[in-house]
Amino acid sequence: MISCLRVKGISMNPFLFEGDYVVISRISNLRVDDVVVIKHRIFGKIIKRVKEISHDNRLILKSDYSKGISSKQIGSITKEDILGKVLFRIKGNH
Amino acid sequence: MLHRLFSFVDKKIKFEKVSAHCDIPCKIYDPIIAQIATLTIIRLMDLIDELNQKDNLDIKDHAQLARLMKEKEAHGLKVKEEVRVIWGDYFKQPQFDQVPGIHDLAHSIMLQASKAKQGINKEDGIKLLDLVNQFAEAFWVTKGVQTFKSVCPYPPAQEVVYPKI
Repeated sequence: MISCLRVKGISMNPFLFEGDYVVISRISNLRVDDVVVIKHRIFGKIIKRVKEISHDNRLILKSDYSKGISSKQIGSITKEDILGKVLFRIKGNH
Repeated sequence: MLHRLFSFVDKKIKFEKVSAHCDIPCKIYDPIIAQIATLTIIRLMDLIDELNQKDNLDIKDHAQLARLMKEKEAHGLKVKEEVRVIWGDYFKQPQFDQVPGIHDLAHSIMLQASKAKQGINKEDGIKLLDLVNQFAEAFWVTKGVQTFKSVCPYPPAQEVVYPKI
């Protein structure tokens, strides 16, 4: 299923800015550097980049912006937490 | 133009928002304030003990004692407040996973700080410092910062955990 979301916040600068839109879809094969939307038990619905995929299919995510929440704070996540991968972005005027 | 189209649709059907979450609630966390407050408690206990060595206390001594006790009380509350804020606001599940003993440690600090406030036994102050130093070490572990121990260069000259920054 495909869905569209509006980006809030700056932690994925410069790839994404506040007010940009992303179209996401559930995809089974994820790779390092993919941008994904997840449901995090503490931070809620967040958008991050895949930094690492472990041998047991757990993902480490990161923010593009250095002041965003860190991989350590996010912790490792499972594929069940992933709501979708960003297929494309619609950038606003920045 | 595509963004304008999406914005128009957004206004009509309200797309869900996703947070590219920013780690700037502008709160600076540092256990050093709790550590310095604990050192102050120990120092005040030393000063109280100096008065306690006198055979007789005059009115000036009584006034000084009242001030020392008041400050010891205030710094005991400060230790509790600083530790409570770091434990309650900074620590989240990823940090709890890194230092799972932090709940018990924070509770021990609350109990020991109360003891240090209520009495004038220096050993209670030293024990509090040991617990607060452990808390500081745990905090810096979650920040990925190494620590070292050194005797602080002022009274009460006790060992303090510092970050290697």
